[in-house]
Amino acid sequence: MLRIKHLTTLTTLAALATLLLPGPARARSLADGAGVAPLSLSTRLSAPLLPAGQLGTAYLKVELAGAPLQLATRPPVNVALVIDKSGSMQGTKIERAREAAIQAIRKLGPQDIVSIVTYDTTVAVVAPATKASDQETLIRAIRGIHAGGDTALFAGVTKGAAEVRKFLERGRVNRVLLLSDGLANVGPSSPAELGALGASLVREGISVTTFGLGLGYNEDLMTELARQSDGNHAFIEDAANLAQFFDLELGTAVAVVAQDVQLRLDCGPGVRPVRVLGRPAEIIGQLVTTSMNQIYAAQRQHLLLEVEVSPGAQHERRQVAAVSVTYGDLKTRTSEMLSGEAAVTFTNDRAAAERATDRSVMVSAVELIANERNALAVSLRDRGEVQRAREVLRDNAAYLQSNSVQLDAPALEMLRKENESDAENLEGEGWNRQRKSMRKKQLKMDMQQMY
Amino acid sequence: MTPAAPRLFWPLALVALLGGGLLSFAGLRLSHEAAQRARDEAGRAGEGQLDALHAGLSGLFADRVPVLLTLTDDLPGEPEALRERLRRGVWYRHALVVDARGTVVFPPPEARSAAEAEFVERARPAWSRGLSPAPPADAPGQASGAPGAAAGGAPTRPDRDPPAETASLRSWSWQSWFWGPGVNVGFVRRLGDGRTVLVELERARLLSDVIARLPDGDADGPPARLTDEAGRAVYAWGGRRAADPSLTPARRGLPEPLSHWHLEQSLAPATADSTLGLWAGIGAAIVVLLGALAHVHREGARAYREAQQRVTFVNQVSHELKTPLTNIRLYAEMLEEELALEPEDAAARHLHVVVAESQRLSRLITNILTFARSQRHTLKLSPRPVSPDAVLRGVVEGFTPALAARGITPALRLDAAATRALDPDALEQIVGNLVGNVEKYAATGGRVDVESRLEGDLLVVTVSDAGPGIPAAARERVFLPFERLDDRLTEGASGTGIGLTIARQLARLHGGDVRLVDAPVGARFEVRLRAPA
Repeated sequence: MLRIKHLTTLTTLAALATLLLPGPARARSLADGAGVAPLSLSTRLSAPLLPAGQLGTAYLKVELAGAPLQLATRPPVNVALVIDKSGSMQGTKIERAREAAIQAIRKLGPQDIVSIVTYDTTVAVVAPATKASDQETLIRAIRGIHAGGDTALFAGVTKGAAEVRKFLERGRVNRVLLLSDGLANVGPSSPAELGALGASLVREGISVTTFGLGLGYNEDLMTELARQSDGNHAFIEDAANLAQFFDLELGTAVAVVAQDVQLRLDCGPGVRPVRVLGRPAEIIGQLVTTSMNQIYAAQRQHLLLEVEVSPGAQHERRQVAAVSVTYGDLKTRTSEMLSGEAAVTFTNDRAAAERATDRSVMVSAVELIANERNALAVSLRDRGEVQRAREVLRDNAAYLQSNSVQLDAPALEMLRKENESDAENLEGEGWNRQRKSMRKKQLKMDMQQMY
Repeated sequence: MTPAAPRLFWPLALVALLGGGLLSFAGLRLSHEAAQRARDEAGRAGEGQLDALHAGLSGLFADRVPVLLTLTDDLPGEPEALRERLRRGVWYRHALVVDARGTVVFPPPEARSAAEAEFVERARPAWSRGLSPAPPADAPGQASGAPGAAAGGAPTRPDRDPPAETASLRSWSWQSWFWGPGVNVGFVRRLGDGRTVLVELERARLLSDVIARLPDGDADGPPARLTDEAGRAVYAWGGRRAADPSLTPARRGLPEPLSHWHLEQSLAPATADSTLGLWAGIGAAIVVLLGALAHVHREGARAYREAQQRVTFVNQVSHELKTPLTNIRLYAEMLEEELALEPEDAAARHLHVVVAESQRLSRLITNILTFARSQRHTLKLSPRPVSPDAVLRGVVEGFTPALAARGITPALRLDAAATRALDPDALEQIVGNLVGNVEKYAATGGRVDVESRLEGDLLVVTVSDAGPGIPAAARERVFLPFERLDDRLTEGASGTGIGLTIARQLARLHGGDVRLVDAPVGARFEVRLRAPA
């Protein structure tokens, strides 16, 4: 059952990858959609009408939508492949990693920059940043990679980022692709330290996508590095699937339409920003800020803010927040701005307020709240409180079920099933695999990732 | 036997024994001293390497000072304005401002983000007992300055100070404090209005930036490492040469403010040099017996050693040159594409020269690195199906501008278009070296002919010129490393002297050979490579 589900996911992923990776023919056949703004902004409140005279709570959903794919003008990428070649990679894993890297390089074009870094106890820049047209040199370098030694993951990412930095510029998709199957044991190795490194890299515009291979890697470290740097993450149990994920990652990379996206929400008087669900954000007083390193074509990225609204009088209109967004248009290489606002109106008609509830915002909020609880269950399980973890997951399933009915949302029903299955798999040999899979899903939901 | 012989035997034996003993003793002493000298030498070499790294890392901090000074100039009183400045930081993110009374005014206590509140807590050891720029007690004059220092007590390295601030005016220093996983580092500056600001350098990023400036793992030399304040190795490199465990590694603290972290360089065994010591001992004995022979021997050993050192040095330098050169080539080629200039445009011609010269330099470095690999017996080929003629055409095409500049016309007579299994890079390097030699030494002939044909499983390529030719006596000598027929530095005749050596090594590795064959004029080289269909 699990196997079949896995297979379907992979098939979908493969289809997505073919769609995203531009073949030369398809690139020519599509017209250049110049003039279409790469990003559009919408703001919605879970409760646009609030009962008058009482303290209210609402969720504000600020959504950024990437324009559909224009393959004729895909952006150049600047990517460092950082490959773990520690002892545990010996055998099939390193073979598959080599094949996947070679296949990835064959897909890149002359406008792309690529570098290859390997790490074990030490780090080697196997191929310094160079044009991807120099394929034979790159492939030869990859063929020379053999496994053995410890895992200097922090330094590997550092040297990979240093290669990307050589050609760091706006208009390129700058990325480190980290592959690891083991625990970092040379240099900093805590999720917090790797997260801090990721957070500083993303301020330069470099995201780190992390691929966890097999069952021996530290999923907390790998997801935290991806989360803080706004990169993707994949749990790849079987090395045979590596090539597909390399494909997928490059496919998403070339589908970036906007980068360096900065979001700023100024909450109005009488509105208190409580918390942001999902992604990392900063709240200082009335100001809420967050950033995204990139938005992909046809992708919807949102920020979900919980606000507390102090009581208002019948018919009073109150601004919840003024929203402003700045981003870099990848195609024109210019800096662009978007702005919008959200407001509530107070009413004495409770039924009308109830009817006005925006279901799509509520669904997003429920998804992220349930995701938070799913993560809580993992930390309870980590402390050995299996029973409490199970209760949290079952409560979560119940919460999702009641909301899926109330909001008529099949997506929540799917999540309910997942939480129920999670509750049944907290013990025994399968826990390691289960934990990796949960961490992966949590990150994907929090950051609304493409895969 | 004469009757005198038994009488003479013992005294003679005694003299020989005494002499031999004395000579052995002298030899041992000499050998011992030579070994000690070699150890000292290794120690100095290790420290020299650390000095170079240390200087590089000092630059890391020196470069940050102007940035931090700009950041803290006219420090805004409005919190949001200061936050806006901090958001742009890559290696800094948080700052703390205290007023003249020692109260923290930023981040404002009434409205702090969760991350800011965490930072204030994390930096508590730095500001709780008053925040002021102070010189570190153990490193006077290093990066951090003593406010009000007299001009006479000048800092030891004034070149590190930002130009705008002399020692007597300087109002900033580095500060480090312990918290959480280890030492944290900040920049403290007293502002004119009584406020003092602390800017934290992010720990993980700082470590990352230090590592980025240290050599890669495949750097030549014995193992070396970076240790943190707890003595844990956080980064390691080198190790292509073994370390001598009997020698204490050279150790050096990082520049202020990271003096709690250390660089450690283990030392290479002084093998070559201790053999030298032994040679000296034996040599001393031989000197007594066969002075002339010893002279010849020493000369030989010296030449060998020098050649060895030359290879190692050149290899190290080449390794360092590879990356910048790749970049120069890449940028020049990109520029060429981007500008899309008319061929007769002056800029196009200049750019063309840049590209051609950087390609030449690339070939040179590839040669040296190939040679080094062959010396270490790690040279490997990877044959795959290619058309030999396509490779040859590419080589000659790459040379065309350089050949044209020297007035040489290339002529191709190719008859090996069929796909064969061979290593195209090796073929390219071999033929490139041969054509390169024509360009360097046989420009007077005005032409170079490249011919190819297939003979069963063999690919045969000949490269002929009409230059001065090579005397029969030197036919084999030209294939030896560092041999040039003419050691004078003639115009244009640049090179490492290993081109033909490498061409032959590669060809032999490829199941063939490179030979100098008879030709009516000039020189003709014949390359034979095993290239099965």
